[in-house]
Amino acid sequence: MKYHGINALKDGYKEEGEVAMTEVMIKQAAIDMILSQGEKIYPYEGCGVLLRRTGQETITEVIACRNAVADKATEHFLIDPLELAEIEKESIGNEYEIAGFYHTHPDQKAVVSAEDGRFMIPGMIYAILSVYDGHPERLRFYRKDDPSDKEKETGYMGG
Amino acid sequence: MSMGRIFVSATLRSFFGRNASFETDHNTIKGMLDFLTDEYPDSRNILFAEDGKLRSFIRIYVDTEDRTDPAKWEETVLDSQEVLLLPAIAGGAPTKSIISEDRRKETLLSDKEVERYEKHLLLRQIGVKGQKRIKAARVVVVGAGALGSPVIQYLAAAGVGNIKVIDFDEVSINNLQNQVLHTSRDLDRPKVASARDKVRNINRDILFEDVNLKLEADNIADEIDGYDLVIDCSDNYKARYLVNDACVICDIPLVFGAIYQFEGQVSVFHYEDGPCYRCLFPSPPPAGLVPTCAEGGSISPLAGIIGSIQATEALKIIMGIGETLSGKLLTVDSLYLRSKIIDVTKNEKCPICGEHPSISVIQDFDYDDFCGLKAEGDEVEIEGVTPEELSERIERGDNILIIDVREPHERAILKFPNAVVIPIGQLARRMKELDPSQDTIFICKEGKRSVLAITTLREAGYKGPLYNLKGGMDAMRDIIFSNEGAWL
Ligand SMILES: [Zn+2]
Repeated sequence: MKYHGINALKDGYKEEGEVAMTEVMIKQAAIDMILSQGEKIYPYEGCGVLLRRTGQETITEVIACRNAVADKATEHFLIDPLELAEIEKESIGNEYEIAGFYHTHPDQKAVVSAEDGRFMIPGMIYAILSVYDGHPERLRFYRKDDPSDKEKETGYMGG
Repeated sequence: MSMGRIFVSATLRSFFGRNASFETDHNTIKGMLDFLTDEYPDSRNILFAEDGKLRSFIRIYVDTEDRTDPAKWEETVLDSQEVLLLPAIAGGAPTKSIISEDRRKETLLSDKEVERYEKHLLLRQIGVKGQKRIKAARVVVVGAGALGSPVIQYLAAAGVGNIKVIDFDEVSINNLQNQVLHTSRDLDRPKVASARDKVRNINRDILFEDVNLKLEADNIADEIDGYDLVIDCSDNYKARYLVNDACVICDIPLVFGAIYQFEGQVSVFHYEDGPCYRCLFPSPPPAGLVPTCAEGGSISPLAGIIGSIQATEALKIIMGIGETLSGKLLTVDSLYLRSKIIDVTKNEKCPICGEHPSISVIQDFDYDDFCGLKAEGDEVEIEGVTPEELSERIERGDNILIIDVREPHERAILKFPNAVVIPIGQLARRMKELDPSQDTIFICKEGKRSVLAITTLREAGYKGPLYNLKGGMDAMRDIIFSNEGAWL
């Protein structure tokens, strides 16, 4: 028999817990670059790559990428796979590695859309910045561990 | 011998032993993928979904040509060519407002409204666009009681253009403890009439529909169909399942709220492919086990906390801003002031929103049947006594045992002298306190949990005579007081 309350939920349901885990460390300079790109490119979606020094935790740089979606770039984004391969081979080298990606949501909330979720590579960090009326609203970080899982928000620390 | 070269993007390397490239003796993409997934079995789940399709985020190129389409996987790859396993980094905007762009654009704000909603217009996430969506919205509130009180008032204050309130009840004195919509002047009036007055005092421009009606399976769809959002402010399980099922079938998002004693819950159901109430609770708790809200009681301001969160969720859904409680259940323990959010996943086997739903029309479920009180085949006959019979037996001084299964707070309101208190959970364990040669009578508040108590004892193998006080203490109330002398 299941009592419909907190206590019954303890055994039957997974607790999500609060977004207390600070899993992402990111330099303020990198955050600032994402914010300013989101502002400049508004009302279109901006996107790019999050980088850290190989073997290190903290995200230190970002590389803005071209949004390869020609029409409807206010609602979709795509980083051209060949362009990304090019960036990997040419710009990043061995000194840096890709920690994840970011993109902006013009006049839309900073949550993972169903489409965003389908494109998430397990283990990678995904940052989403909402920009309302040209002003950054919220920057949030997500990741998933298995492609079939729902993404989890992870806290972040700038500095 | 031919040599197929594969380059793996750094973003996918962790699934392939951190290797940047492979050389294989395969000369088709198919052969190379088989080679990789044989070599690294865990990568199969990364590359392919459960249905065998390549995941959305995988792209396969041969030099600069996109050959992601499996139809091209058998084509020969030349020695001079390189196969690239790359990620597609892509996405789209999340679900927008449930109010269409056309409806928003049709809606105009008067100068007076611009002034009235200034504090909304100042917020970037709301602004004129958001306020127009709020004005265009058509919302149904089920229940004008404890939760309905804050919900109705905040929706009206926020400027929701069309509010329909459904309730069949009248205002009684014990409603005033937490139903802050109603005042002593509203006693004995229909709750929806009282709600209408309050909304009119807030804003006369709102289209307010009061429906004095008990919702049933055959009338609920007519009442909610065509509305944008339903807010469940009911206080019983029957209504919750009815409202949930109707919302799934009419395809309307639902903001759920419930309070019990010091604890409250809020969630959003059937929104953005999220779960429904039945995904969380496929079936209701046994009828007698959990007292209804009316029976259970709750601390006065709790309804204000929970109802205000429901109203906020409703406005966020109307405007398409922020993150909602879809797929999550917020629980608030007001006594020790703790709150938490629990993940609720969509249940593929959900009887109404799952892949093969067994419920396709709205139906009133037979609560007793649902909860196993009327088990098939071995139906347990439960004998009852009326309040009159019981009081006669007490006055005669019959050798009877009375067991009170009510909760302590219920007993505090109205004591039943001479009764032995045994909570239902302890019954089977304390069975030896009962004497099988003696008539034992079970009492609770409404005569339902006492039935459950008897069923529990029968299941535990108790053979002595057991009786249920019909209608419980509610039915006994007048008799006890008029015959109090006989008890003392
Ligand atoms: Zn469901």
